[in-house]
Amino acid sequence: MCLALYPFVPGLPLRQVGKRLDAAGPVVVRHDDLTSLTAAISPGPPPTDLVIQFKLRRVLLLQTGRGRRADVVVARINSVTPERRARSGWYLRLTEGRHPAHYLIGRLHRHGSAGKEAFVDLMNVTTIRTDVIVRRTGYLTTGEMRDVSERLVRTLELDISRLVGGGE
Amino acid sequence: MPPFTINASSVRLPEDARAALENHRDVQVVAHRRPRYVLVNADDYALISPLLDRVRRGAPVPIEDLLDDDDFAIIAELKAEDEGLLFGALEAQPEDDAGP
Repeated sequence: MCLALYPFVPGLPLRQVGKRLDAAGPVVVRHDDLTSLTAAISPGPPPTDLVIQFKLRRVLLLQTGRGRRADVVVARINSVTPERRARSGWYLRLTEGRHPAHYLIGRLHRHGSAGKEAFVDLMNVTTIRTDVIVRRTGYLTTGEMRDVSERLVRTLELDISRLVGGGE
Repeated sequence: MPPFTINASSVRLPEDARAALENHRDVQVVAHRRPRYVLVNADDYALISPLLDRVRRGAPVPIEDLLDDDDFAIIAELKAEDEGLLFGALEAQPEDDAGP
């Protein structure tokens, strides 16, 4: 478990911030659809920069992150807020370890969340650079990582039928 | 894989549980406060057995098929948290093209 810069994937609507200034600052144009966005972007040089915001977040490393690779795949960790806990069906599946995509952590000191419940969201997986990992905050055991892997197979919709002996 | 089948005379099911099944309500069997088995109406089982079969064979299943309304509400919440964090596209323009 690490604290790292987590990128947000841009989507629509998108605000285009020009270098042109008016009295209020940079001119901002809102694009609600791709037609509007692509019309605003020039295909040739100079290239259009896409500004992506980052947030410092807890993430779970899904790969060792050792070696000479510059990138590592991580899953996002979210808090179990009182509002989420009130969703009894979801919370029951989470606490019983039966949720297909979310994995409960935080009840143990080594999870690094100061005893607060959180969940690994295996539907929110992305690649980050290893040099944006700020620090390690905790760890999961081999058995817990196996539970995480089972959920990852489901959320990535991987075909493991040959591995489980059900393939042709 | 077809279900393991036993005769009704081999099962001792409380009347209210039997009524629940007749009304298409699942019956959960717990042991030591942990869910162990779930009995499902046969018509309902016919609807979900292809999905179970695919999951058990390790075949890919759309993750949305395994989620419920609570899950979709939480996905929407998480998306809403991120909405304000998207900044936008910064169009690079040559200096001499810059406006007043």
